[in-house]
Amino acid sequence: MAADNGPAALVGQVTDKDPAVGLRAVVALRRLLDELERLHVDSARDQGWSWQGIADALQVSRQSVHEKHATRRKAQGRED
Amino acid sequence: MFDIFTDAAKRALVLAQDEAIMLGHDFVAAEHLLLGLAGTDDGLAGQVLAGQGMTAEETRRLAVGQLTADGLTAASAAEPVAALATIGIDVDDVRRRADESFGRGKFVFPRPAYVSEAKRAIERSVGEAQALGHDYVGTEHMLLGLLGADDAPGPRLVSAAGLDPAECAG
Repeated sequence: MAADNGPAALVGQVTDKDPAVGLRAVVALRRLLDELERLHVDSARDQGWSWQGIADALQVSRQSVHEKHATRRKAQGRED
Repeated sequence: MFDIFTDAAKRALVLAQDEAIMLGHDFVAAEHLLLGLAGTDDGLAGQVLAGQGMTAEETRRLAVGQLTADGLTAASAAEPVAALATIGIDVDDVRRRADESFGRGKFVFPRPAYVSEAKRAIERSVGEAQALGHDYVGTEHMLLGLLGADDAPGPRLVSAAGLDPAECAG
């Protein structure tokens, strides 16, 4: 079982030729990315980070990070 | 948009997502919104629904039946996890690390996404509040928003419970 999870096996999976498998993984990865971003943005805000500081760290505009997260945090009562 | 939602309405939205997660669903549908309203018993919608016999338990039973009939099952949340396993990402491992750093339950994957029908129901609830000249959106407006579409799961569920949408609106 351990051998199946080794680097060689993983490379085989990453390069799976079936587009359905690969594309499903891409979509799931995007969702994982969104969840991790949400987690870390929340953590940063709770620790007093400014929206500009978060935007700089994420290498995006302040406007885009604010649009994506500020409304949600307001709805959750975590932002004035 | 959500800053005009009352506290009870916001809690109903959070509960809708929690219900989806608990049921192992990968999405928030109109059925989950109705569940959120039924479970928010200090909201007007929860009281109206309970008054018609649609308690949280009864609503859940109807909602699960409806979703199953539509071919949507609890297995849906497992699919993105399996998809990530094909590229060597162990979601359980990520979850364990996230729980250690941020506390249990902060990391939710897959976080249920609103299906377009549920989004439209929420948009309609804002419209219902505006039409009534209210400057807030309460659970009662959300219930109206859910009932607003013909042949949507909201009204279908309510009809299944033998409840008259017009009576809810009144």
